[in-house]
Amino acid sequence: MSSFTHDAFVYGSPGKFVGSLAPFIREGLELGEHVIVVTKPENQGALEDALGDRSEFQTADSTEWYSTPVQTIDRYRRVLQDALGSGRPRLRVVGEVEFGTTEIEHAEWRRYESVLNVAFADQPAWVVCPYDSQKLPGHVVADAARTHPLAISDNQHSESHEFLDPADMVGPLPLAIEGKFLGEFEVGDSLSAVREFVTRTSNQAGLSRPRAEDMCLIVNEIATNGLRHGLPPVRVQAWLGDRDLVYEVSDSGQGPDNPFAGFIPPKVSQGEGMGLWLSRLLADRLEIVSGTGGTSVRASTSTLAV
Amino acid sequence: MRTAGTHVDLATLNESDHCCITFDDFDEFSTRAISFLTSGIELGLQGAFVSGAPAEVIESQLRQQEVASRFLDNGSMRVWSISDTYSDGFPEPHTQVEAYAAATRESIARGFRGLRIAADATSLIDTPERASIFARYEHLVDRFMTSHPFSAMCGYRITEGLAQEAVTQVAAMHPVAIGTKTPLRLFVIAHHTYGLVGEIDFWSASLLESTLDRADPAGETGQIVLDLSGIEFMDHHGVKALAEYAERRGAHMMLTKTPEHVGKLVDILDVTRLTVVDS
Repeated sequence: MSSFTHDAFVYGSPGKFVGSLAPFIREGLELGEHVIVVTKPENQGALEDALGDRSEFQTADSTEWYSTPVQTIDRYRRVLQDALGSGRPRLRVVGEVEFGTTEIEHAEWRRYESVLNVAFADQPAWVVCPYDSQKLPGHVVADAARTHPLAISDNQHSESHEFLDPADMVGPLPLAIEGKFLGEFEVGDSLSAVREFVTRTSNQAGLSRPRAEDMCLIVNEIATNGLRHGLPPVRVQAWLGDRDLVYEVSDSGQGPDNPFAGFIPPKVSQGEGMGLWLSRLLADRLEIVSGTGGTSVRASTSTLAV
Repeated sequence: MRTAGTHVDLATLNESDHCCITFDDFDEFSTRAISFLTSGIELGLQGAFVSGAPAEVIESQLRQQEVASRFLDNGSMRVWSISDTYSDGFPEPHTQVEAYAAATRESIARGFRGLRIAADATSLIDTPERASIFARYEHLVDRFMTSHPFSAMCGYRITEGLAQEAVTQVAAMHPVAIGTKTPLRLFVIAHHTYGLVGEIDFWSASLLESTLDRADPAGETGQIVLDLSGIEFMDHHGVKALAEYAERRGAHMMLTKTPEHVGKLVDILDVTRLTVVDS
């Protein structure tokens, strides 16, 4: 079994969590697989009590691990790469997603769960995502059946009949522009002038220097895509809200053909797709909306000091 | 310590500095050349005025300036004609560096501390092929300067016949470039240590690629130290160009004084032949 397996596991008590997942972890270790357990500290503790020596598998705190969807995909990508590089036959993951508190966060992580099927398709990895039915909102738990081809309950695998094609789940989520309009800039031949615009508006928004540099990179990469693959005019606009700074890069083209563009790590040697991938990786949020009127890419960052 | 920058007073350049300027007419060039040579002569270096015209034409033009006449008379300034020096019209890069090495030794034998030249090299980059070969020379001579008392101001006249691209290619090989439009420069700081400065994005990444190939900093050892303190901006196309060059040459690049955003890109792109050693 070397292809990607992605299961949802709905549990209602710490006992159920340990009862199902301790054997799953133990089996992986016995098979010489690399095992990583990403969950809340209390579940981590319960597993430790059941399994004893935790040094045999990797652990991570889910509140840090699930920072943004694309950063999380990148983390798993690296863990898988290292595991295979050191001769492990497969990666086994217990990954308890942090769904956040807002509707947008719930939707973002639902999309992440769906995209994961495509991002790791054909990779030798088995990911089990525990869903805490006592703590998560009912609709979040219900969505698990739409984003996981398989569900586990009482150690039995069963196919999910509600599973939806990830291509239908990957569409853009709302990313509102509100607050103060900081200006706009039409991109000519010089990307240098675009970067000056971003540096100036990022400073106006009070971003730290490293964060201003991130935004400069993001807008530069997306404007580059607009100039190369889109249709003129390519325009950059900036808005400063109460908590966020949002840049929008728009052009008259149709946007990327692949709905998963920027969600899936590209190979450096391919050359294409790197700009969008790293932009999604660096932005707090990034959404692409394409329609008859053209394409707009919005990238946001928090303006609150971290 | 060699000087690097785009806003530099020519008169402050040292005995191992290498500077590129663009100019519109001979008077402008000769004024700056004489200023550059004068400061060199004051440092105890011998000066040389190099241009495409025949030597006697250059000399008669220079003699219109009093200071130049005095330098010509007392032997502290020489005049070379490119057409006289290269009878076949175009120098092979190593041969030309060797010629300047011999000239430097000659200046030292005559009691000077070294040699400083001001050259109008426009005629040497009149076709894309020649510009490419001459850019290689500009890099080799830049290497030579780091360990010899030889300094140069290379002038390129902006004419309609001269492609901007040709000027950019050669300007990119200078630690000091005044008035040129090159977005980036690659130069030698010390043995195996190179400086890369400027802004590198999609448009300038191909210039970085060709500049790396012409300069070929990997040399024999395959170990390169690249100082990035002068990088104002680099996107993923720039990091990719560095990584691909290292790959082509089987070389390894140590990046020093790396801007934070470049370090992030190196990490994201997962490139194995680049190592950020300090940022």
